[in-house]
Amino acid sequence: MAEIIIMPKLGFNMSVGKLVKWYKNEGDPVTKGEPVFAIETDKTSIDIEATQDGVFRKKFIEEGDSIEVTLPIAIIADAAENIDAVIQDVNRQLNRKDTAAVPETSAPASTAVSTSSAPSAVAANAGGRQKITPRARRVASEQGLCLEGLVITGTGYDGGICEKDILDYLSSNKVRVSPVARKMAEAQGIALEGVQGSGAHGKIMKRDIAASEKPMVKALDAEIKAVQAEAKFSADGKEIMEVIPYSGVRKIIGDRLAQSKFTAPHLYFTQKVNLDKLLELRKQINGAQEKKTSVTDYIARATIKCLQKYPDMNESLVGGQIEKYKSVNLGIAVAAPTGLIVPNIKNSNQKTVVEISKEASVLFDKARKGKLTPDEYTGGTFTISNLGMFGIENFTAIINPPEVGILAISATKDEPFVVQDANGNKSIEIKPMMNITLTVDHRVIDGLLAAQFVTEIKRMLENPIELLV
Amino acid sequence: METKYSKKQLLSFYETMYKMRRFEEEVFEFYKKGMMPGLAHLYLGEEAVATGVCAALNEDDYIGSTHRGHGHLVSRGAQIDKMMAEILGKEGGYSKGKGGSMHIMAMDKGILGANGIVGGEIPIATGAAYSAKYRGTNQVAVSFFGDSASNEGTFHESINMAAAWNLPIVYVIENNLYGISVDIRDVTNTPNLADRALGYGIPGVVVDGMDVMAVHQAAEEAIKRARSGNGPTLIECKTYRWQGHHVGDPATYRERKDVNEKASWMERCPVNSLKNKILSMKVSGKEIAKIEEEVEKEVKAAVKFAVDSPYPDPSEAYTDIFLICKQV
Amino acid sequence: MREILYRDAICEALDEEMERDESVLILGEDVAFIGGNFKTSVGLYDKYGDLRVKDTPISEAGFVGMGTGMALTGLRPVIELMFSDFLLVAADQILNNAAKIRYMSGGQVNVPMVIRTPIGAGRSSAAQHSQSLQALVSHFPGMKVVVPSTAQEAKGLLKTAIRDNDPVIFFEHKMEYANKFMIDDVVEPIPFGKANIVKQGTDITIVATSSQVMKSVKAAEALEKEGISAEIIDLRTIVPLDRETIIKSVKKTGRLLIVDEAYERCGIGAEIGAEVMDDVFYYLDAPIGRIGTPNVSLPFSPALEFPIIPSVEKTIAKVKKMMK
Repeated sequence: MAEIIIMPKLGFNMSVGKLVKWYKNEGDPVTKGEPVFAIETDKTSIDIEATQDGVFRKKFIEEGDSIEVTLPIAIIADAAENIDAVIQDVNRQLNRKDTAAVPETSAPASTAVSTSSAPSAVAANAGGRQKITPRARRVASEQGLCLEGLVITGTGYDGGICEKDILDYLSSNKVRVSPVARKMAEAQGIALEGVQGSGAHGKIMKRDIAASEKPMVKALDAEIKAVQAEAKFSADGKEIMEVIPYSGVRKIIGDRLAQSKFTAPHLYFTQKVNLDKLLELRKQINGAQEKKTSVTDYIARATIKCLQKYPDMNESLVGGQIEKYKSVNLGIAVAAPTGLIVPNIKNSNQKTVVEISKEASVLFDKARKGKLTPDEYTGGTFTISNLGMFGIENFTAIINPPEVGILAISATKDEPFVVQDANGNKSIEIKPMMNITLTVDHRVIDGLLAAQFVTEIKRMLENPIELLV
Repeated sequence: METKYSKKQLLSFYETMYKMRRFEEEVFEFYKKGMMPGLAHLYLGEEAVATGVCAALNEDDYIGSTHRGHGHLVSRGAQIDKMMAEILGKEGGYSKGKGGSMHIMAMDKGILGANGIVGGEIPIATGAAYSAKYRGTNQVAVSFFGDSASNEGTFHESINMAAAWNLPIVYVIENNLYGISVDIRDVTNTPNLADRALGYGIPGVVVDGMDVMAVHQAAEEAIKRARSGNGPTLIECKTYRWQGHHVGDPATYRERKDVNEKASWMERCPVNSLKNKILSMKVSGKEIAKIEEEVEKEVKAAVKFAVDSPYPDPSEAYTDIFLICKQV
Repeated sequence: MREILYRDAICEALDEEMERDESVLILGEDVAFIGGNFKTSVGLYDKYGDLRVKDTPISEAGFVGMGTGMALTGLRPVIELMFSDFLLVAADQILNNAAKIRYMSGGQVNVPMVIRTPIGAGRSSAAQHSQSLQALVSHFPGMKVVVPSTAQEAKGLLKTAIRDNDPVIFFEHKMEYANKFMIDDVVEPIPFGKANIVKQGTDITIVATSSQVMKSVKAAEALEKEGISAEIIDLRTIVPLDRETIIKSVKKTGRLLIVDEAYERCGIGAEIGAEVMDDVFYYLDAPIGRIGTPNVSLPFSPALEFPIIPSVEKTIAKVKKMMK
């Protein structure tokens, strides 16, 4: 059954998707759950998996192309299935006149060969079908093993392939290679062990074999090599260690930050916060439960409460108008492999410190693994950024557009603090002090509001019982 | 020896019988309007039997009933609104609509249950009698069943054990001459089914089932016997059902022997003859009218309750299989 | 720990429960004076008297129905049917009445009654005295179905059955009555719906009932010598069924064989196989197998009877077939 693969719409605001990688070539077999292609959203790149077994018959766009979401980009079908009608349908949707049904890049013979002339398999065939148990299929799929055309000895029920056979096969065939690639390698006497696999789980694909016969390097790589081979010095005489393209995710993030900083007049307000009561409260709370809270969780809660008290701070400048939001979607900046990313806790208005703590943990974990979904890092209404763990005493943050404010949190340090007793006598005590700096977009927020807001946050942090109600 | 019945007693009988009569007529109305799921088996014509027997019972005595059980239930004081709702398959019924006409139970009134299997309730009533004896209470069980049920194995097995073990039970055969279309006289060799008692060594009594006082007298004696530990009695009430086996059954099979059979029985209508008897005792027509009015109100209220009651939620089908078990 | 005959363990359960609760009584043919046809109620008549241990006439429908009436009015009767085949004589009272009364009353009442009856072939009792009718009863809603294996299991499960507030049918195995077992000094009631993993294994799950549990253990010992590791589950109760234990085991082993002595067609193997299929499909390395009594009436001659009833040899052969 032919299946039309479309560019998926992964986020509410996503209208276009960019295809950055095809994991399959036309003619390659596909198993359910295997990644077929990768797309790039404005922050990360995501693998899209096949939803059924079959053969990757035709692709309609190339790596690097962008296309509207929900439009078709490929066809997966049975090896011998006639998909002319499907191709016509897709072309119609894409407004193209491509009538060629034959995949251009694969050697025509191999597509038909891979299924119908499954090599004289010791694996028993029942009516042309490999006899393989559901358990074995599941295990194979989990291990990323494509069974199409594979020669596996079946020792299970009625001579079929069972789990043990899959596991035995895997342990004696550590090299993963697609059947087409295997044939090519065999034909040309190329040792598979020496080939780097670019497919899923390091699987050797046809292109890898092709690359090892005659080196075919991506344009960019060639450029880099050329640059590196030729000029070791910059134009004005500085020795170059490395040239890295300013592109991809880094460029996206960088351009946005630049836009934020250069369009919004940034205004800064600092408060010094005495954390003695908060740290004591936190100690008690953490002692009473499994999930440990961090200082950031309390600051988040204080910020959320203040945003409800001063809803003008919970605004965004969008499309020429100021939107004031009821839902407080609090973003917390975190370092991810691709750069700084701000996942946000949706509808955090009534969430308790512990709930915030739990949700934030999950998001941070995903962020560090590069697995945040667009929904998770878009839609925020205010951001907090904590560099306290690096010991930074003071810093100012750039607003995360289209928000109108951001709170920078610095490290907590013991400092001398003036205390006044009931009689008015002043003395010096040592207190854990922390700087918080609020940045606001002065087009939308004036100084008075900003001052009130950040002072209220300070006050709440210094009276932390309020954070628990 | 004939007992003298007071005006009060007779009025009490009349109230019960009139209520039974009116209840069954309303059930029939529902059937005719297409509002009744399944079928009902009406007690019309047999009112004197249930009334007479149950009037001789104590509050905590047991009765076992049959598919033709509405009469027994009314005479034991079951709530007629919950009965009517159950007959219509509604949530407000005794069994939340899960039992229907043939399976109404009300343990608080000692009603062990109506039973859809002919003869199925007889052993159960017998077991209740054994239980009363076991526990040493003074309770008695009455097992109602039809002429044809007395041909079921369970009848013979039960009455045999009850007789052998002296159980406190009274077996009441409601002989209305027919088991659906089969004439009892064609399939038994004993014109008086009560004679079967001889085979079990217990007394057998034949009673005019259209005369509530005669039924009551015989029942009283038998119940007293049972309660005092002297074992079971078999009472056969000769009676007749006005309608067919179930609602909508034209019962033409009854005319093949005697076209006047039904008419002659209806002349001896138990409700009307009791009414006449009471009036002849110098009771003012007003007292009777008052009873009838009260009954009408109650029956109307029951009808309204049944109609207004909602149908049960489909999820109810999965409950009440076991008392304590999550699985079905 | 002490040694005991299976039938005496049952007798002990009856005795202990009757002592504990006055509302428990026993009825059946020959249960009183001679202590039961299979000697499962020896001594109880002398101890508890005529009203509590009652010899009945041969009227199965009658006295089972009486049991229902007793259960509805405050007692906890334990009715014995001499052979499980005879439950067909009382079928209406069991399946149309006792099992359904709670439901038909909309939950107003419950029927705390136990019916005890032996199943099983192996002593040339022929077609009408050798059947195992657990599949028949399980097919109907409203009856809990218990199939104990060892003497200890029988004693513990019978206690639970008597204390249970719903109708329970308790299938003893007639070939086990005279067998010796080890039993704890104090046996606690064993809960329904919780199967027992009698032996752990990795290659195949064998779900067995009644005496087939013991036979499966023997089969597993022989299979172990050939390198096949079987996990054996004693089902204990068919209704309620412990699905979770079975599913968890099959997910581990990849193979499932159900061994039960009821007729194969529409039997326990078919039921359990279908019941767990949705959950274990992707974990199966072989089709689900079943062993039951073949769809023939049980013959009289030992030469015919023994080759057809489920046995250790049959189980070993079937497991081997499922492994390759």
